Amino acid sequence: MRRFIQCAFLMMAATATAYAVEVTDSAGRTVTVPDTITRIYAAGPPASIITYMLAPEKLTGWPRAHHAYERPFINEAYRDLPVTGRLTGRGSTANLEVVIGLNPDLILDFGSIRQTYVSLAEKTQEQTGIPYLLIDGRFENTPTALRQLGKILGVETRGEELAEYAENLFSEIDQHIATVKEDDKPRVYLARGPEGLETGVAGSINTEIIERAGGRNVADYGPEIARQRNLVSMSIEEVLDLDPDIIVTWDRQFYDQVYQNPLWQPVRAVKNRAVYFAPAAPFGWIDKPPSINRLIGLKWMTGLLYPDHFSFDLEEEVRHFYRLFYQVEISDADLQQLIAWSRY
Amino acid sequence: MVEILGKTNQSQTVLSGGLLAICLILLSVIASGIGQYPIDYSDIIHALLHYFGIEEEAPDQTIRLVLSEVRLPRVLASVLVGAVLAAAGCVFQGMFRNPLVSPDILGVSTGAGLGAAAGILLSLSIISIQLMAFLGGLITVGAVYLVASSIRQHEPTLILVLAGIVIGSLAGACLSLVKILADPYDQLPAITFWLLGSFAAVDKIDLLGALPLCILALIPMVLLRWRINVLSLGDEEARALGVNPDKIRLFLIFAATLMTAAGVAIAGVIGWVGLVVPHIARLLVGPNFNRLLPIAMLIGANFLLIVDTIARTLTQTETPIGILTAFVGAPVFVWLLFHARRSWM
Amino acid sequence: MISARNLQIGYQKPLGDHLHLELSAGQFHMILGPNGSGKSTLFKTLIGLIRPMSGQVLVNQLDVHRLAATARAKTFAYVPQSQQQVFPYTVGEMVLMGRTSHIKPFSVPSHSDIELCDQAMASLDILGLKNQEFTKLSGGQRQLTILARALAQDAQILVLDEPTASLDFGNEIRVLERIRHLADQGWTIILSTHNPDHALQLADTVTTVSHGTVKDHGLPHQILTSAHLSDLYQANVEVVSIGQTKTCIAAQLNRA
Repeated sequence: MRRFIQCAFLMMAATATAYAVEVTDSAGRTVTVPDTITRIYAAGPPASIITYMLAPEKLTGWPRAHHAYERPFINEAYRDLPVTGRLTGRGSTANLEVVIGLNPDLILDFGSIRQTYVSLAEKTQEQTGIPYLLIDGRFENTPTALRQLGKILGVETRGEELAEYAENLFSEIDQHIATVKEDDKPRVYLARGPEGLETGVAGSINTEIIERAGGRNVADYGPEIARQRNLVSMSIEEVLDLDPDIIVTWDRQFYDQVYQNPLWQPVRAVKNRAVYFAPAAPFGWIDKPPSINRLIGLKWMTGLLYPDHFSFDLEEEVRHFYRLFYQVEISDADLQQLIAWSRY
Repeated sequence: MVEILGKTNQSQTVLSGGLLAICLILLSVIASGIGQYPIDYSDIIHALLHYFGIEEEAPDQTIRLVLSEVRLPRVLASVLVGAVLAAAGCVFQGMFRNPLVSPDILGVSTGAGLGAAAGILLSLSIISIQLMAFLGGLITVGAVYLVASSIRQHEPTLILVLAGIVIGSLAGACLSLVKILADPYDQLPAITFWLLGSFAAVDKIDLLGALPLCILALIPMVLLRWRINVLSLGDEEARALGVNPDKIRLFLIFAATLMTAAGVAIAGVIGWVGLVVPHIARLLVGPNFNRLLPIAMLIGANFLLIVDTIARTLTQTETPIGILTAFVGAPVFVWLLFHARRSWM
Repeated sequence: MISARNLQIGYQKPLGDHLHLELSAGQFHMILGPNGSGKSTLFKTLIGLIRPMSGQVLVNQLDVHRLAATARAKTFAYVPQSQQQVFPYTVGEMVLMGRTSHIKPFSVPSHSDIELCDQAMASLDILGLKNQEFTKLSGGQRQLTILARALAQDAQILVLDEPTASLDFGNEIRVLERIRHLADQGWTIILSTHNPDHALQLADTVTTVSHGTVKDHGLPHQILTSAHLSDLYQANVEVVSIGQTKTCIAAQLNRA
């Protein structure tokens, strides 16, 4: 009997070793994860999105509850996953005990790999005993991240499929941008906040898709500023002085009044009626959060900036992207509502 | 103004007042010519001449717009808010007999911040956000006053301050709750920018909304200017000298709160002005409210005009004005502490 | 002039028994009692600054506690105990505040107010201090300033709460001389003190207070006996005569 128990222990130990793999995350940390991962706790909104795209059935919950207008764009099976809070970002809302109670095989963070987040990963892994992976969430890294995570999560085919979409889009855009002179690139202003007077500076994560799509962010104060801060507040004078060709926003408050507000009338983009509303359901097209949700935004923005070279059927493209990435068939009514103000 | 003291003090007040007023006018003109959008002073003169019908030719449309809709409202708003914050500071310092008191003492800024944050959270329109801020400030101070006056004690000012601390920290907690609920990619930065204060988005309508409220609030301060001196001797003495401190205090709290809330609603939370400016004014013309109020308002107007001009020109993006007033206000305050005579200035 | 009927004093709870007191016009009344006897409370109740627990105080047949603030200020000019002021008003401004009850709520002092204040300061020989800051004065000068303010208030009754409590001996004498002088000019004065010598040497009538109620009331020479004072202060006090004046000494210390 005693021998049997010893045997059982040995076997368990053996299976544990045999079925665990070592992976290296983007921060260079070596983390031992189970061979089969079935439950993933997403440390923040970007991580929850990439997990949802790759393997929604493994997601233990959403960082926050979805608004009514977001719900139609999330697959019905996963709309109502529990709200589990976030560990990262501005102010953690997750309870570590809840995280442990969810019993995930893995905690995943997708985003910045700055020291703050590396140390948070280390600390949380130590406290909870749950492997914590940190994957570089820079936009450029999208195909790599999709492949890498697809492999770790055991959904390699799906990872490859999504990575190819991103890769094709990137290279298509790159080919075109190579032919455009820097001075010919459209000058874009991202209007945030109800007044439209907050923006992300050039080089910040909040506006990187402007540059990726071959535009120039008018709020360009050099790489030094971009390293220090992402969002800044502007005066209308400054906007008038910058005089952008195109304004992009996702703030309904701002969009609803920009064409009536006398202050904005002299701005070139307003004069030319080139203010565009970026959809934000289920996730933002430009930012909010800065994750893979921005691929469709990138496609849209490139079309916006270079209508002559990138003409495509927006409705068809949106359907395709939402089907592929969000695994959801959107109704005509929902689609119209989503892109109502985004056409060009 | 009736001559209340020796000639020296009287003429000193007139002199300081005159100089400050001239300074304010000059600075306003200079500030109107400075900004991100390049406008020459000749353009300003041209626009003015056209406005008064002397010049036929209309100025450039954008220049006219920037001047009349952006820069002038902003210059005037900083003048107005500087003046009212200083006035409210004088009133509160006198009323609480404490020179370390600022207009925030009863929680008006925290309440306004909470109101604005809630407005941003609910994605209300800008005007509603401002209204929420204004009401938030008034309601918070109203709650403080109600709590304090329901406690019968012989130190009503002390109870008011304590109630202010309690209600203020409660409002602060609610503000934190709103921040937690806010969208971290969108609403949270908006709340943060709002709480730091800025004149960047001030327009004519804001100015026209706040101005009557401020003037309305100024009336009891001017009318009661002598009674405020008596109140600053303490409740018992005021009572013995024939002043009902409770009644006057109610008026003054309402007036000071009304003007501070109006200022905060259009410009966000701006610290230090209401604390430091009354000290400088008292150093110049003494504590008599009759002279203190106009001088403090002029100093406050000059001060905030200068600071806001810096805020909008220091870098290409806006520097939140609350940060700048702290950078200027804190060292000035330390300097004042060093130079304070044994009693307060 | 002032009559207290069935008066029970105290903050929130009564300090002592019901008391009766009659103070007549044109005299110098002193209220004498040890620290903590309720003397200040009685005092403030008499002039309407504290509400009584029960009973009433009438002045010229009117209930003191029903008077409006300005009416009360025209009846009583109050000199509080030590003056701790925060803001550096000048002496002139401090005195001028005494005129408040004669100034309309939304108005400021007039020329005639300023002249009246100058007279009040001149009568106490402090006109020279007019432009000095109150907060920088000596204790005696401060008390004289507040006294001048009380005179400028032009009330029927001068009320002084331990006016010499924080003064040195010389200032104490000077301030008391001034007050006696005012009494001789016909002012009605009520003064509270814990020093029986003041009562023995200056007062027309004296009221002794202990445990929140009146112990005795009458002419100083009649009621301020060694026995009464020893009982009042719970210490061995002896009243002795030196020439024309009477004074108190600590009997035990004297013997030792």
